[in-house]
Amino acid sequence: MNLLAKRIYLFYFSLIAIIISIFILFIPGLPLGIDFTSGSTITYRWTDQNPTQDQISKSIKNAGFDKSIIQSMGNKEFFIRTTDVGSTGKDRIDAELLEVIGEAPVTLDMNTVGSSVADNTIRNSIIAVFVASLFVMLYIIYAFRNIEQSYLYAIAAILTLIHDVLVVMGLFILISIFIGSVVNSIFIVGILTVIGYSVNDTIVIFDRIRENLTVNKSMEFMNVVNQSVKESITRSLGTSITTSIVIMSMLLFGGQSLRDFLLVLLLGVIVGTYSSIFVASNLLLSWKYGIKK
Amino acid sequence: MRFKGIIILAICLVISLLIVFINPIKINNWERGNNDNLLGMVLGLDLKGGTHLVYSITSTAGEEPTVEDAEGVRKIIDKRVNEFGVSEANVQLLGTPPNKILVQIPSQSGDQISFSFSKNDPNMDDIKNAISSAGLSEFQIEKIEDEYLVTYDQTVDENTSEKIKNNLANSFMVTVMANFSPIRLEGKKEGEDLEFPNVEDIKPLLEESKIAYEELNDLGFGGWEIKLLNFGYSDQSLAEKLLLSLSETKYNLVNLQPEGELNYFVVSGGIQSAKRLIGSTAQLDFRVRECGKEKPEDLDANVWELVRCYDPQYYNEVATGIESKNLTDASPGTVAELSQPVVNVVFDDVGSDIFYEVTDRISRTGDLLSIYLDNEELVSPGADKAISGGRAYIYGKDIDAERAREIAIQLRSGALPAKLDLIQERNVDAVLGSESLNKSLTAGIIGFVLVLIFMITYYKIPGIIASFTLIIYLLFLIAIFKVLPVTLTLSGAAALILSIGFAVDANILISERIKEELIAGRNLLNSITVGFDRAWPSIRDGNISTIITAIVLYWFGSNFSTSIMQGFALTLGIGVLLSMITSFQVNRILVRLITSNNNFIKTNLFIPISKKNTDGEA
Repeated sequence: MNLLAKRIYLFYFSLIAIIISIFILFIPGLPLGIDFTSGSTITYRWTDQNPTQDQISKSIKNAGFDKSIIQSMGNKEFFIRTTDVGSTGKDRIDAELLEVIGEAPVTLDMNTVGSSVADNTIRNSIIAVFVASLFVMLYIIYAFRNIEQSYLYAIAAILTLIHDVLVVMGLFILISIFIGSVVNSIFIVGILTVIGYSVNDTIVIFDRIRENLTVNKSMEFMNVVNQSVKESITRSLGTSITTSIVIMSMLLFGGQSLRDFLLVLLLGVIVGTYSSIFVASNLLLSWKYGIKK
Repeated sequence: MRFKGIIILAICLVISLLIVFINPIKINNWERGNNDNLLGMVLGLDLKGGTHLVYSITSTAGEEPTVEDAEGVRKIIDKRVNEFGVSEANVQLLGTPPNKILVQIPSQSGDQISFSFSKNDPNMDDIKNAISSAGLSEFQIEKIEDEYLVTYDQTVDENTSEKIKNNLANSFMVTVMANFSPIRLEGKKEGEDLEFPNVEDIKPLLEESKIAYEELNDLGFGGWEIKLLNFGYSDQSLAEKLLLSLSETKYNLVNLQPEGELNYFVVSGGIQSAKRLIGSTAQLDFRVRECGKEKPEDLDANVWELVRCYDPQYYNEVATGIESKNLTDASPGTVAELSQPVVNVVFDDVGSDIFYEVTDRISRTGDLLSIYLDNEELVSPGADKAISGGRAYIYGKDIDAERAREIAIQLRSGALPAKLDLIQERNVDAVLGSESLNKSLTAGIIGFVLVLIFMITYYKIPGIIASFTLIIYLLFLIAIFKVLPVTLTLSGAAALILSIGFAVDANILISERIKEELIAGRNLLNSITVGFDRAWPSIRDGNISTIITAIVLYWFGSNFSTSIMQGFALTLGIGVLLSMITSFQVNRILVRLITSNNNFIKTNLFIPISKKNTDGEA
């Protein structure tokens, strides 16, 4: 079986996925959380009373915060996102809630991010992603230093990585429309992990190609790549199945706080596995034969 | 050779098991783990509850702080947080060069309210009522000597603490004992010329000062017992208020003693109080207090002695020129010749010189040196001689051991060399923390068991070996985390689970390689040797790229005002490094152990299910 026989279609598929993802990145764009936009989030839990969203919204307005998003989390728990409450705003909101609802809630979780922090986070995130990619690329060049044109492998791995990051972001935005996920600092951690994972997968396949090239010197490059992919595919699937199992169980049984992060990881594992098989090797072949053949 | 590996593995296993399950481990000063946490691991704030505060540091001139400023701020805050009894707090500078400071305070123990009454203690049930009617439930209360300690597993907000304070102050009868000296009546004979104040003299005084009383008893010979109810606790004590209202009578107030008054009330351990403590730009101020010189006509000599140095309307204060930085140390202690607690103070050279001049001056005039912290009087000692050398101690009848400690802490905490602004705050309730911990734990166990099931059913013997390798890997990892120690956070838990994925990956790579060699026609033992050798480069190269990402994350993590990144990166880095080593070495030792038994040298036990059919065809 030649997995890459219809590689021209795989090429188009990935290209379209990337274009759609880039489009989605602008409209509607990443659903940025307070780590990037600054502001406050508070999670309250009531013991006896079960307040309505209107009551909470009114209390927050009374406390002087006009813009707020209130989500019911069930179990008499409410998640509130509003502008930066500063050092005294939380006390005002607490007092208003007590007055309107008649019971002081327990603050389960409170998070405030000032605007200077938010600006920094954006800048640092971008730098971190670039630096990580750069070092990984240097490492690949080093790891493949013994075969001809090792930089081509590095470029292919990096292009695969960019593909993965873009598609994961695109899928994340699509899913966030339905389940209300947001992008916070931990999203960046997720993306960086996806980078590590994607490169790991790609390297395993490239390793096979490297090995097969030295063993079967007379074999056609196309066949070497195809054989290598075929040999690695069970391993790739096996690994992504087990990793997905653990991530899925965290998603289903773990707490809410890591949901968005785990979603990024899960998407990363799925996309990373797909791309290591179909995108990375495809790129190598394109260098040798052009995209048409 | 084969046995050497097994012996090393067995030794490592025993050590790891001991580390993981003995709590706490103590070897001389080295101590790890405690019984409160899961396997004695150090838990992050998101798993046990607490506060995470980030302040930006700006120099007093409004510019970026110097490295020395930032380090100074860190030291002072570290001291403040530790000395006020916040345990396991973490204070660290962020940014390069440092311009932010991160303070993490665990809220594991909840808040503690301590208070005491002067004499006349109310009974315990009434106190419990006073607290629970303020809205607190499920609290523990105990009495240690004169102090009541209320422990509560949550934070007490300011409204509630205010209510409790008022309830306590208002619910109990406060008895004030006042003694007046008699006045000599003119034109009366010796023996009948003395008169003590009567009800008509005292009543209007109380009414005038708006002090509501329940009972007024004449005890004879100038002694009066005044019972007060609903007297709110305020910073200005009851004794002071009464003193002022009663002293200006024709009968001289000799002494006054409140009993049953709430004279001490402190909420500690709370997030709000911690925030106040950290952010306060406390400023120490040393002033010479020139006591009142001219006694007003209408004041009795006894009262004048009481007020001339202590009532702001009579004294005058001037700056000394001693600054906070001139005070190098302050500590509580005792002095041989005095049988009472003292506060030792040490000044630097500049401070010593001024201190000598000041003490020289006040020892002659009888004035005082008053020390202010944030414009609040801390202590105002006098001096009996000029003190040289910059070392002195402060004592007084109202300075007991506790007060001495408090004064020393406040003196030491001194002034911050820079301005702090709160720019990020995260509070996680302890209840939410333990919920998260339990959920992650359940999820982790379910995920892990599912992985083991998948591995064993799909890969058979290599799957079983891989499963053992994974369990051993987890055991080693937990032992390493506990020994270092690595703080386990929610994102760290995710990294840990992800590293299981990587460990599985290495095992799968090995199994697949062995399988391929078998299919290629090698015998089993040969296939195993070659399989391991061929799998290694892939395992190494793949994992190194993840380790690189982890290093970048860790390195950049300190620039973000959150510990999420560093926690994740550290856990992932250590996890991947360890998984790389264990899955390769431990797997190899186990495979050799198993194949030393002839019953297991059956090729098809080493080939996964899916490959069976294709093999048949081949």
